[in-house]
Amino acid sequence: MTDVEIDETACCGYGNCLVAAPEVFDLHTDTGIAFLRPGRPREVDRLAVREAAADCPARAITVRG
Amino acid sequence: MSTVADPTGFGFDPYDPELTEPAVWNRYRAAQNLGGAVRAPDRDGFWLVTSYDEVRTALRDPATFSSASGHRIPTDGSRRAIPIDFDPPLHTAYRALMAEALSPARVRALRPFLAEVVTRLVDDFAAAGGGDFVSAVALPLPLQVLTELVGFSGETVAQFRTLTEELWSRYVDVDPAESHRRLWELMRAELADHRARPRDDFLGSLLHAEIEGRPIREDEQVGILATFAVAGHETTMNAAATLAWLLVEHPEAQAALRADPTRARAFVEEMLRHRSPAQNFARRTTCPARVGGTAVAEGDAVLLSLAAANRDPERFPDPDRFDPDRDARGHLAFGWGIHQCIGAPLARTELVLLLEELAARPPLCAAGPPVWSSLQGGNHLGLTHLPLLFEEET
Ligand code: HEM
Ligand code: SF4
Repeated sequence: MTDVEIDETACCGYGNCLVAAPEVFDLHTDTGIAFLRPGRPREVDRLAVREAAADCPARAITVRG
Repeated sequence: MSTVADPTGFGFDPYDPELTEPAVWNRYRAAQNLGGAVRAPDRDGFWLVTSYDEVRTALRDPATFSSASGHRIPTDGSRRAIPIDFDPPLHTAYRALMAEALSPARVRALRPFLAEVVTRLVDDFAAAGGGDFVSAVALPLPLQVLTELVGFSGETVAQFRTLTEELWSRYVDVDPAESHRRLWELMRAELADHRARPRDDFLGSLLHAEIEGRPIREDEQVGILATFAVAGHETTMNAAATLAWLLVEHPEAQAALRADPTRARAFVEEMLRHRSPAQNFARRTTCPARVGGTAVAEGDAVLLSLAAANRDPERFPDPDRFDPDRDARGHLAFGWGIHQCIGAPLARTELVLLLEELAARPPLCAAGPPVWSSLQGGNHLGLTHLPLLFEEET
């Protein structure tokens, strides 16, 4: 099972993760910090979350599994 | 300008004074029509990359597309700026140090200050009956922010504009070694002043910073401060003036914004996509690579055109249309990947605040013809003069 963690202190709100995996990530409208959408990630998101992690300039996304 | 013959001979001199509004956009489109990467013979020769996918792919791959030879054409590795002209691991260390001053938490803490500066500048502009928006609002805004953000004195930031303009002149005949020296001297004086009278700001923290476990050198401190001085004001100034110009050019978009100021954020993103203020960034290949189906040799210079990529019809339909209602996400105006702009959270906040402030006033209209610069340093597109005024309310 794919497990994703966002380091909220590292996230700079670039939103690259949203472009790679729009179903998985969203940004808080007030703080501009990324969060995981409810029920995500799922198994189908496996590749997309890896791309999101690789694309994150702040290296704020960790993917396990 | 030369006419287009074939993909191996597309003239594109980034320092050509004719590359300005609106000709520059036609030039990018002409390059795009020839393919994702075209060979330009100018300035020692380079590949001009204009397709969204190809530009982003290169930005994602810093091991192949190195920044260490500089982000300007020609990539001769002279006068490297920190952190932008470095590759990992040194780049990572510099960037982490600088990012402290620009983190989202820091920007949130700065917000009341930013709002106050924006309101005061626009108040003064309105009270004066309008005038040149560039010198009255777009330039002083980032300069005043730099005093608070870094800890520069007001007298120091007042010299940034002249020195920056002189720096760009390197690329059009005049040798600005002298202005470079003056900028560095100014930074050294700030460091000395902070050593003599310690203060709790970024400049103060830089005095005792460490890079890769050793004390930072003075030339590194000076380089970091010089980057804040130049990168911190030029881009924001151009972005702010472009926003105001767009309001006047697109009255319907201005009306929509005035009716609903929550549209400001999307308006800013579409400005960044449609008229990317920082347009072209160079890299150099560390091994043979393929760009846009073209073989690029090891050691070749490539110029990644963010501005052209942001108008790639394959990525953004009807790309030349300014449409604040479109989904501009994924635009490359701040770059992409390890060098992606660390000033983005700050710049976005400043620009949204400015737009909200303008939308809360009477309608903004033109008070004379605007003047656009050519690409400054082969990169920055903006207005040098923008006469505007608020309509009289009746
Ligand atoms: C609208 C305003 C701005 C735009 C359009 C912009 C654009 C960019 C772009 C495209 C890059 C990537 C360059 C590359 O990949 O080689 C970049 C990097 C950078 N920007 Fe900005 N910028 C803006 C505002 C700022 C501000 C306000 C600051 C600082 C106060 C800043 C500081 C930097 C720094 C230090 C880098 C280098 C990052 C690195 O190499 O890791 N920028 N900017
Ligand atoms: S890409 Fe990284 S920094 Fe950007 S919003 Fe997503 S998690 Fe945050």
